[in-house]
Amino acid sequence: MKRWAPVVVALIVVGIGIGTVVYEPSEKQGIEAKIETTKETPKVFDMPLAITKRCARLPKFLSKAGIVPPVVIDLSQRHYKGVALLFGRGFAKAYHPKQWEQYGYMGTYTLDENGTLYMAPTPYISIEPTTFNLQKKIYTIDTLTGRLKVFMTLDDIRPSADNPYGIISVAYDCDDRSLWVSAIDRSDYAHSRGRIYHIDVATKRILQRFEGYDALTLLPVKTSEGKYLLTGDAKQARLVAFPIVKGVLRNDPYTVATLNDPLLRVRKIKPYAPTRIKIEAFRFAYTLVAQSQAGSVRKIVEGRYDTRDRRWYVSDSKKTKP
Amino acid sequence: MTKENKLALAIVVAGAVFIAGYRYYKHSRLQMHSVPSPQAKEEIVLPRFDSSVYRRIPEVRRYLDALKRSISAGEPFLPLPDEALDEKQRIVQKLLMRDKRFNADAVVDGKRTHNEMMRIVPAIRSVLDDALAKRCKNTRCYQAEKYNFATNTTVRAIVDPGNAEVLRVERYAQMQPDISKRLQHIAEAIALQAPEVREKLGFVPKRKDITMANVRGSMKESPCEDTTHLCVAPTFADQRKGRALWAVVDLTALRLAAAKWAPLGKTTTPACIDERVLQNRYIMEHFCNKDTVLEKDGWHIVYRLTGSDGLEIRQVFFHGKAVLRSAKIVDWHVAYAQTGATRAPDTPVYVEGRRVEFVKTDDDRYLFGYNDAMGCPMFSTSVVLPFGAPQIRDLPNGFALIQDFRNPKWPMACNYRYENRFEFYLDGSFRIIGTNKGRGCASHAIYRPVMRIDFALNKERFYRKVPEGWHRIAKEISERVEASERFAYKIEGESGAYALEPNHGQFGDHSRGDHATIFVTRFHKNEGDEDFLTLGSCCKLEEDGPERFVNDENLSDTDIVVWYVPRIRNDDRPGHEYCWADSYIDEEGNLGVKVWPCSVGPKFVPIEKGTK
Repeated sequence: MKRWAPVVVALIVVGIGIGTVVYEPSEKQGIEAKIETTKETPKVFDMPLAITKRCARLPKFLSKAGIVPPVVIDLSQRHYKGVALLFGRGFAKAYHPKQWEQYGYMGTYTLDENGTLYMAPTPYISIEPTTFNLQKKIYTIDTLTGRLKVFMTLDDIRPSADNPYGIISVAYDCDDRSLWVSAIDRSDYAHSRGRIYHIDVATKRILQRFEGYDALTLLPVKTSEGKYLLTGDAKQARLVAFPIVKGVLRNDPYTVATLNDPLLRVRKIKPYAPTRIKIEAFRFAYTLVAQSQAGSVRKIVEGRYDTRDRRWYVSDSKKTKP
Repeated sequence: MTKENKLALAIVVAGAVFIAGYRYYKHSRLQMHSVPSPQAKEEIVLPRFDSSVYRRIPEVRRYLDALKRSISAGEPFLPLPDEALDEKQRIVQKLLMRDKRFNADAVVDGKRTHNEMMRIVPAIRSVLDDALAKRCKNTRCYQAEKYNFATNTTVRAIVDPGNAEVLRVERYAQMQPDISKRLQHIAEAIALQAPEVREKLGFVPKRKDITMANVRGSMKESPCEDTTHLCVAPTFADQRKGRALWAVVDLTALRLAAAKWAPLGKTTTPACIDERVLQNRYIMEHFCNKDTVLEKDGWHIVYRLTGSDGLEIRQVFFHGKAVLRSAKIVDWHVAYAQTGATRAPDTPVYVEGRRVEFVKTDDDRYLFGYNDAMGCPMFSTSVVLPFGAPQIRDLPNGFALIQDFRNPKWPMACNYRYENRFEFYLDGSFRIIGTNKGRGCASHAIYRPVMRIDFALNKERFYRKVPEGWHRIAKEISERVEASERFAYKIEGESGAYALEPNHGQFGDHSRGDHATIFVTRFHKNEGDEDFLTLGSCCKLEEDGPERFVNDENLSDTDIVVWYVPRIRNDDRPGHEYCWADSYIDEEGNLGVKVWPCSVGPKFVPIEKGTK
């Protein structure tokens, strides 16, 4: 029996080695990441949405600040750096503490059931020494105190002169109290190197990192067939859905709709009926021009589900949004 | 070695190979995935030839003559020829010739604009509201559409020729109609004559080779339009190779705007053939962070477009001798002086999308403005984008390498146009030129292009011209350039010497001089050898940006970088315009642009080493 000892030891060593390599986390910081890439020819998304009650609540500090809803969260950066809350008749009044300018410009937001506001940054107009660092962070405004702070830093995000963007979108998922976050740094003309992160809010643990796709915007939605992450493709004029199965984003993309204007990119998705989606789109080329050019208004596009064809169609609206 | 030991070793080796292979596979997946660009297989062709050739085409000439006759006859629009219309259509056209609502935009700023009737057809139900549909039920109504080329506006009228009545007139700003047969014919003629099209097709095409049947429909309200010009796309299909050449013809400017080879087929036919997009793709694929080698007149030059430092030349040799490691214009500081302001605004101010910086001066003035970075049209931090590819133009004594950068809305107010220009002469001298073509936000503007020139003369030394001869500068400096003689400075190295000749208007380009500040620093890679994001303040006139690199370092026998920052004041006074642009209605009724450029930049002349 003793003579087989070297073989047994070799098997154990190799087994441990293989086990270590196969199950080793992909990030040094110990996140659980499932690496996925998008397929090139997605299927057609042939189902309406199930509109469920949103869990988002307005921040609790509003009442303390004497702000009576309705409130508009202004991230346009035209009048206020960072974020401002507009309220009152014609939304003419603004709540904008100076502290909300501390981390530069903000691009998108999402609210949770407690009224905590999460925000994704954006580079704007010109690059300053701090700009790139600011693109690595998710920001939050505390529901009770109204203070802006850094929620989390994603160290693997690396904006550069050739692509100044980092984290670009954030969406709260009421089902599992998590955030879906997209980043588009490192992508270039020929390559999509964007990531979608799934982050547990309570532990700030990255549950999944999905790679190889540039999403300008994200929104988890439900259908009769299951749950999906609706995304605006940063490189093509289309809305793409990825299935979410048991909280995990699957690499099985569906094209929901293609915009008529191939130069537009989806920046905001607002379903308001099972067969209706309001889409805000703008021209985007990974430069600062899209963000800064006055008159580069967002186009409002209407997505409609045709129950006979079982397809989504888009029709351009004449409406624009500055 | 026993059999068991051999087996154990084999297991370990096999395991190690598996682990290495698995790690490599996993690592390669982690390293992101290269998704090839869908555009990569398409070929984009930008015009290289003088567009005046198109004005010599007989169809175009006849069209322009008819247009001029119509404008001088005071007609509100160029009518469709009578022979192209039936009796009812002729009545409609006559009625509309006299209709004030339909022709409300015929004159702009006292000048007749280029208006043209595009089509007169029986009205379709979708353009009639219920009231008009009822009215037109028993009588045949017509819809007529004209296009204003100067204002990029379509006007549609619903006319009842039976009762000689114009029922409704609607105006659609920034929209283009279906084109007339006449313009279709002209577009075909331009596409057939375009040298680029002939070159790409490999034969002289005929009208029968053009597929245009669907163009009018697909162009209408589609993105296949320049935002302000009327464009169409005659197509040449090559069935054998399964591809088509799309020729984008700009009917406002009467020229070939761009062309594109694309695969045939529904799924791959390019939905968008926008001139701007084609240009951007072409520039990205050929020039952005990609080196192009130019060999001409004894010069060897590598050039490329950067993310935010404009057009950069690198590895410049003259007859085999190294001259420059790099030269570029890294930024344009734009500042406006404003008097009487009591304080800067509390909230950020944006003008045409740029954040405006405010700086208070000692004399109670405020300077405001911004920094303009020039660079690649996609994946960059630039705000002033390249229009067209780098151009090489012959000069009487050499050649010039030029890149045009513009804000998309130039020459509208607060939009800018800059030219990066490098001139290389037969005698080995060269000049680095920054040209501003306006228009800016206002008068009282101060422009400062920041030029970075890194010589490659090896073990370099820098000298200032003084009355006694050349005074060697031992440490890094910054100073105003004072030139009482032709040359103000010289740089010498092991492989040669160059003298710096500041521009004070002697180069025949109507320049009013450089009024520059010079900074001479020791080379450090992180001091601008790679793409600069920002450099200095737009509006602190005592700071140009490179002063941060001046810190008393030794300049002996080292790699020296020269920073040269001219200072230009614009001028909008009639008859004295400088760094300015204005639009006007030309004799054909189209929108023209008058430019008063201002050019700055020093010339470098080769001299003998040790020249006194």
